[in-house]
Amino acid sequence: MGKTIKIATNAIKAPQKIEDHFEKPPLWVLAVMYCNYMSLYIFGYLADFCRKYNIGTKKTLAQDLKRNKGFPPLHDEFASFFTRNVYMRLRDRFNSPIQSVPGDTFELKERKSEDQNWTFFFTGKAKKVMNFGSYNYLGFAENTGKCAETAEKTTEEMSCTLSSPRSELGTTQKHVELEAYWSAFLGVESTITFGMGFATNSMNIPAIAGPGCLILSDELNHASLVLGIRLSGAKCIVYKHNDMQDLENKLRDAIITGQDRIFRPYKKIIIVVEGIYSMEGSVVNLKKVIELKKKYKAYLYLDEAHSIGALGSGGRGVVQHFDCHVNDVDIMMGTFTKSFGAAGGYISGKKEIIDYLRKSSHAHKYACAMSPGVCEQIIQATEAVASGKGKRRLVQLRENSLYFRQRLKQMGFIVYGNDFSPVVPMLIYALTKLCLFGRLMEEAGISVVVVGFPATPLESARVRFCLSASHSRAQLDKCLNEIDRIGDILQLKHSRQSKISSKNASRNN
Amino acid sequence: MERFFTLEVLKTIPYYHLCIELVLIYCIYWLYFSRPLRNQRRPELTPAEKQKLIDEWQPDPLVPVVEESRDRIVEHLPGSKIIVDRDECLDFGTFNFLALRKDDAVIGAGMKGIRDYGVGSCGPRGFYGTFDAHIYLEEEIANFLGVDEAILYSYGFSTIASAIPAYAKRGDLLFIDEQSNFAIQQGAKASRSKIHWYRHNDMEHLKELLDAQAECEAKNPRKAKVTRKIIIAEGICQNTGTIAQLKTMIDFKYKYKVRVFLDESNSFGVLGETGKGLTEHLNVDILDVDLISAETERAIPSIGGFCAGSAYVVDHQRLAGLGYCFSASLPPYLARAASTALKIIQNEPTRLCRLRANAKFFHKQLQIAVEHSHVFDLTGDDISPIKHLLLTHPNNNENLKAIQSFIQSAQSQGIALVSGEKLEQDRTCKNTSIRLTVSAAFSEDELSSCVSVLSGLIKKLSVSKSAI
Repeated sequence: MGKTIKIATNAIKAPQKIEDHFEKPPLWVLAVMYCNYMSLYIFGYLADFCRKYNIGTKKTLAQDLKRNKGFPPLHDEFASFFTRNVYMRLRDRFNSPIQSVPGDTFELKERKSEDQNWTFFFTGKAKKVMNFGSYNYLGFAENTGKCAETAEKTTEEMSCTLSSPRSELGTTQKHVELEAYWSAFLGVESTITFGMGFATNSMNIPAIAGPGCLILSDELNHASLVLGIRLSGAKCIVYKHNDMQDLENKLRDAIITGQDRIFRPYKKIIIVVEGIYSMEGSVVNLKKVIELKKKYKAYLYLDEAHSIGALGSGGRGVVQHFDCHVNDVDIMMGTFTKSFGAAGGYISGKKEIIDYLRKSSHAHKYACAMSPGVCEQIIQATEAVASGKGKRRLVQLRENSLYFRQRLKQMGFIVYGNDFSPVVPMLIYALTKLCLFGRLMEEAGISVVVVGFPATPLESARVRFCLSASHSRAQLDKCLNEIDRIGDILQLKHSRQSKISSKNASRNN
Repeated sequence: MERFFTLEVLKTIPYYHLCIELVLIYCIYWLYFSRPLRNQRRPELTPAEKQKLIDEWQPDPLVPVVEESRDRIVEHLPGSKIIVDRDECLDFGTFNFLALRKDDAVIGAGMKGIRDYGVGSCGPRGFYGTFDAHIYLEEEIANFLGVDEAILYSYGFSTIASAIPAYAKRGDLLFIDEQSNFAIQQGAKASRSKIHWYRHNDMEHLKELLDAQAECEAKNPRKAKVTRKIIIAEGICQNTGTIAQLKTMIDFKYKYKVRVFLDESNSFGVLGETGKGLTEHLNVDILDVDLISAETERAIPSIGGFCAGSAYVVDHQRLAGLGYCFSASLPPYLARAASTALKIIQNEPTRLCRLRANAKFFHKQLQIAVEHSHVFDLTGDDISPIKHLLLTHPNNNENLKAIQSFIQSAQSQGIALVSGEKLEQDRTCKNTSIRLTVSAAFSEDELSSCVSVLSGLIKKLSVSKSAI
């Protein structure tokens, strides 16, 4: 095992903390990709034509009720064209139901379609597959062990819900305990927690920013951040992904020119970034962002949805990863879904900020409090990470990420993102290949997430592997071998950077 | 050739030709140079000036300074009791309508769920976050309501707030009750549609607005054909406890070709013979309502919410509902608990009867207590489990303080209440009220004792008011 690690880390070069990789594909790959879309569209129009004139078996999406005849249609024509003719072809890759713990393996409920994915039925059988699709970075998705047992006990004592917002009658001792615990874990003054990660962003940004404020947002920020910014009514300027020069230029311009039309200076400027970008696997250049933020007196909102627990020697996220100081980040936001096997989100920071949020956060005021069982799961998981019992998990996750990424690169795949990130997007480009890749992997007993337009840009459909501390080296090797095999079948090895080093590595093996 | 290099050439050109060309040249000059002139209101700054501006800029603090506030810490007891900051109280604050929160079967299902699935779901619904527990619950809800399909959300607030912008886009029209809850307001805001607010439960006003719109549309029928129009209302209004006039809305629906979305958070599992909500209560065909949404945090004691309706409407949210696509799915153990609770609602209709009887009894008693007090007005229908004591003359901060101390002294006498205080961004923030929530767990004695405590406090308040 020691030997393989050596190969993994030394074969190409030592992993860099800041460096993100975004290799460009050869031109012919893009040409094939566009032809692919074109043929999908031509056949889509053909299929629509046949449907219109009742040629062949008639398959349509659900239609509006007869009684609503003459109403303006609820859906856009273009969107439903895409759904009918493109999404429908790869529909079996999404929403696959599972029926067990989403750990290193899970049981997939088998479903079949006899009409090209228009309808599904369950066969009643289940298939055990390796799980490279769930966000389970530290492997806390377990139904045995201390976390699950205490969560169960707490549920018994305190029930599933409190049916009241936190600010009314929904705060229990558990919530207070969780918030104190989390503040101590991150080393911040105060914390406030919410029942849903998505809502943590979308319902708190409007409390912090408003008209007259400026938000500088990374172009790849998550939908929840975008929604929160939209709801806040603040002016939003988007800068290029992780491009610090662009961010600085836009910051300068904004301060100099001030608000649109009225030319007054902005009330405040907030930079919104994520720790790990979940679709690209890249890590924010936090040191530089903090430097800019200090230089221009802006505030920093850091969304650690994917990086908390996954990065840093002690699992404290991207701040620890770069040895930055936690007080340099004004608002530390994150979720408990990904690394801690729970649900919900938090906002941590200085006491006055959290006190303000307790009074004016939409989620604190209007949305139901977090389930006590979930609180307990987070407390126990955090305790494990903080006390060193979880140290093994952190080390394992890091080794897995480095190993998996380096092996993929050696094989000649185009892999996006930072070497340390446990989200590994591998570029496939053509939509049909993407679908086939997913199916072949599942046949081989491995579940992976495939993502295409509209979740990614049109030309960069990709498969995403989410690594976990609970994956063993043997599991990773099995997965890698399958990727290698299927990658050859589908001709996916487009990378031009590592051809030489992959030859060396195969010689060593 | 030589002719071209001398002015001779000008003589050969017709005179009018030259004039036109000169005009054209002037036009080009004007187009080219006039635009920058117009923008030169802000002249280019020198680097030093820019630096000075940057140095001088002082931002506001990130958040305003506020007093530290403390949330009351509670512990729920079985039945109708709750411990609030060590005071044992009757729980008139939480939305525990059917008293299923502490039900052993529900909690047992949740515990078994943790043993089967663990706690978290570890992924959004699209990417291996769909569990069989979710599918069962969706099917059960759809079967229970008698609709094609239901879709689960992992957070009650996000349910309607995501559903509205999934359909309504820029340029569409929304007709929304003025007193709608904050989730509807936020959903409408996120959609960027044009919003017409109609006066609370005022169908006349709604009709006026729809008529005005119809007039507008008659001028431009092509645009009208693609403009979506949606009426959004709450089954039982959370801010007033009033029941929506669904029948009239359905009439409007077919008359004006408007869709109707109904938020049944407070009426699902409350109204109707079997708890199906407002449609059953008013005997309206459920498919006449285009979309029904409800939180499963109230009558059903779990977390999350659902939308239900015809497949044409609901299926769209699986790709377009932001809170559905981009958020981790509901922890599967909570879906299990919700399924069990739904079964109990179906098997024990007596709970529903008890809740409605309690609501009516309490309403009558409260009315007597509030009458002639000149401090509070009781709002809402008698059958609604949510009652609001609305301040008759709301004007200033003093009222807020009065309400806070009212709640505090009620608590010390064993009644846990909640103030209807809102955030500033909320359209309904102006009404100051006290909210009382009735549950099926209360006995008539408990309800009467609450009323006697309240009427004592109201008397005190009205005396102190008249003294001022």
